[in-house]
Amino acid sequence: MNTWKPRTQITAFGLLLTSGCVGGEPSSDSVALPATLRDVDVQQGFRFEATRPVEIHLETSLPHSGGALIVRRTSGDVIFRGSLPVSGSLVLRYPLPRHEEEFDVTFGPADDPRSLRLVVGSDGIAKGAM
Amino acid sequence: MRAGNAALSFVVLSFVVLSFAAKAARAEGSAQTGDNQSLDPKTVMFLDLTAGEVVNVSARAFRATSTLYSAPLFITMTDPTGSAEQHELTLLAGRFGDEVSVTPTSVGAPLQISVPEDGVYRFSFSEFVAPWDISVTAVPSPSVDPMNPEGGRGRLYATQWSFNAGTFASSGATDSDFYVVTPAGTEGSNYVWLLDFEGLAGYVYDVAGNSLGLPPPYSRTSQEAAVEGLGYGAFVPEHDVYLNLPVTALGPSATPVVTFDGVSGSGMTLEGAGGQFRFQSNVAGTYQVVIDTDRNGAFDPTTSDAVVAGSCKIGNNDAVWDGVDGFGASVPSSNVPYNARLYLRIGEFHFAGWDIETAKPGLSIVGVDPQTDAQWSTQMFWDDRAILTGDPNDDPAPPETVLDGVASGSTRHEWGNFHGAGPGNVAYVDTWVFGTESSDDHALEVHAAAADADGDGVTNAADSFPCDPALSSTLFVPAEGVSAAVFFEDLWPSPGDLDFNDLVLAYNYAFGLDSQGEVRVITVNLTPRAAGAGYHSGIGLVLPINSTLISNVTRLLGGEDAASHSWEAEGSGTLIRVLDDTRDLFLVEGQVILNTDPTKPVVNVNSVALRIELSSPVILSTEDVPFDLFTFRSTDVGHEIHLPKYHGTSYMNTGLFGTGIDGSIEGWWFVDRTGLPFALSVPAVSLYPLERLQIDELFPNIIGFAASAGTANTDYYSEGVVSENGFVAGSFGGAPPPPELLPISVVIGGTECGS
Repeated sequence: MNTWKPRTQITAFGLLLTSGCVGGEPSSDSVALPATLRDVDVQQGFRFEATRPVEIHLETSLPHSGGALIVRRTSGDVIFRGSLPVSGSLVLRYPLPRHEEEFDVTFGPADDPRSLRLVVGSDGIAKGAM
Repeated sequence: MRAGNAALSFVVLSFVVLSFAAKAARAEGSAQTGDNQSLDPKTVMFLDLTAGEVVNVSARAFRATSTLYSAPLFITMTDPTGSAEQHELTLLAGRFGDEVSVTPTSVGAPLQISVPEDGVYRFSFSEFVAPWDISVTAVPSPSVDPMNPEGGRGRLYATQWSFNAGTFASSGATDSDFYVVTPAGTEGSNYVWLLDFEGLAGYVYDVAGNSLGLPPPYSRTSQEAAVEGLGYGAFVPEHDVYLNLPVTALGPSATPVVTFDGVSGSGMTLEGAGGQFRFQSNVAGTYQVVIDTDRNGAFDPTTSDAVVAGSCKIGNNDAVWDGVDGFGASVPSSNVPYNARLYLRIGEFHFAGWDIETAKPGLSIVGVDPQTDAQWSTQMFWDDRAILTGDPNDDPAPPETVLDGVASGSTRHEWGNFHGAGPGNVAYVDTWVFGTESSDDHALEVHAAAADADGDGVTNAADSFPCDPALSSTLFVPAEGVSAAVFFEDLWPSPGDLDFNDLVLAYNYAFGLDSQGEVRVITVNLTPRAAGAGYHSGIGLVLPINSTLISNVTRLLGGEDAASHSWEAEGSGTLIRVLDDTRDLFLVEGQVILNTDPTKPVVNVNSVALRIELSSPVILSTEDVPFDLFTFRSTDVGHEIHLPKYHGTSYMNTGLFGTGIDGSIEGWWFVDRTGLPFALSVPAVSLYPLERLQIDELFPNIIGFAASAGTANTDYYSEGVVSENGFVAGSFGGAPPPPELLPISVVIGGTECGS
């Protein structure tokens, strides 16, 4: 019988690239693309990064580790396997592929796990949904 | 390792030649399966043929009436390319008249099909047929003798033969023989088993073989098909089944050796959750772990002892145990270890007959020596306890032979009594043998899930490293068991050809975290997949960690040869020169262009892994993985090429900036004047371009990605890919080497339980 009841508060958010790391505006369909990569005038500061940093805060007020914690990417691949920290707070800054938008978080005791889906919105903010 | 005394005595016994009468070589068909067993058209047969050989086909469409069955009869042949063609059997070519109920001793006018190319061909009839015959001859001949095929060895095989005998009665029984080829652990070897039926009456039944029997947890047992998941099709055919001693018979050559290393994964076995066992095998075969959970001193799968079974490969293997015993109860934690024994077997063959109501006097499985055709007895096993009916006239005796087996040849597995009920009705009856075995023992500790063995405040169940107080979690980038890559162009500051394959370097990072979520260990797995370059280049890495916080760096090449490796301060970070020449990892001599030219063979590679231990825990953001992973000329270490947000190390020859086509500015280095970088980070393992093909010919969407500064086409490396412009195979086929990832227990390490 598990008596662990979460006063767990989980918040999650993503951060846009810091100022100057992202440049330019999205190209519109009406603008013809260059024929080859050599013809592209790459906007200053763009580093061809196909990932963006996303920050996930996992916080708990439990006095002890609340059990296993697993975080998965959209693909289902595990990026974190372990436990909520004894301190009650875990911050993951993670390079998420730009076209991916979700994390799945499973936490708590093995006999009473909880799941949470974190959605990274178009504004770069990840929101949790039970 | 425990010496396999039982196995040794078995081997000696098994080669005692029995006095079974050798049957004359015959053609392939009803002569072996029985004229009263009509072949189901769902049976797919195979022949490995040489160009110019002739397949001679004769058959009668079978219906259980005495009237002429006049519907057309076809045989479909599918060639090695997958192209199928239908051939009609007529009374002038291949079709037996209705009056022919027994395979003739000679056939004057078989349907003859000459094959145009070498390869494996598939055949199937359009109707139930009996009698039938398929003979192979070297050249077309006006007539063939289906009873005496050329070569005298079996060539026709199927992975599943299906028959309809039309009755449960003894009149429909068959005394047929089948020859089953099973792997013997290594290339170029196999076992040949003679599946010898006497009085087998299944009405509608299948003949097939595999290495484990029914799927877990029912492996090595007979079961009713009503059990969830065990309906028709639960037994997965695996082995080739012949009608004569096969031309492919080789005989065994390997002796299995197994080492039971103990618990892998987290390193701990938990009450209620089980754990993962690691063992090493010198052969590919089957394994069975038996845990003496009732502590009676015997490893007995017929009791409450826990059993884990499966197939294994050469090298390290992991077996997962769910923590329950043979009766499904959780095995309690204990300070006294449980004894566990791991068996490694080769040549294992299961005949799990489907819906065979009667085998009387039964079936036997004996080995056949392909060199002498001699047959040899072996120990034969069954476990029919789950299908017993209580009727002594139907039930097998003994109901199980799991521990010691019975001598085949002189003993048969018998059940049923020629009626439609009995233990085999709508059930799988498994009979099995194996070639030889090895075993090894281990004392297995089972811990309480809620305890905290290493005292780090994290319970055993939640702790990825339950015996190491310094570690409790792992963070992976890009993910567990998954790699990403950096593509390098190596000519900067001279113009490149933009094929981004001068070095294709796959990476996976794993961070070992302590109970506070701070980093204690970093591991970096690197696999160079291609080097389409004339230059020799090394690999360097700058980590954003002060060098004084690093206590040790270990480098592993090809997962082995762990050795201490050097590091040095690089500004506020740490420089590790991973490898002086990437080509040292490619397993070839003298080839310049590696894995980018499809006219050259694929070259296999070794991986290189770093294990970086920290003297103090650090808070480290992983958003910048792979960090500053760069390449440098092996003969000119000052000629570095980095991802564009890094400016180079203190070794960098800064005089290169501003020369050639370099367009570097502050914060944006190693780019040309249009802003194109010479190193590209791709967050997945993808195709990479063929030699001298510009990367946008493989990834057309990268143009939109670049033109939009990364806001459009963000998945350019996986969508719209023109795969024919990527390197997918070398001149002899074979894909480029996949990234090699070492187990976390190897690279992160951590204190092992019990140490």
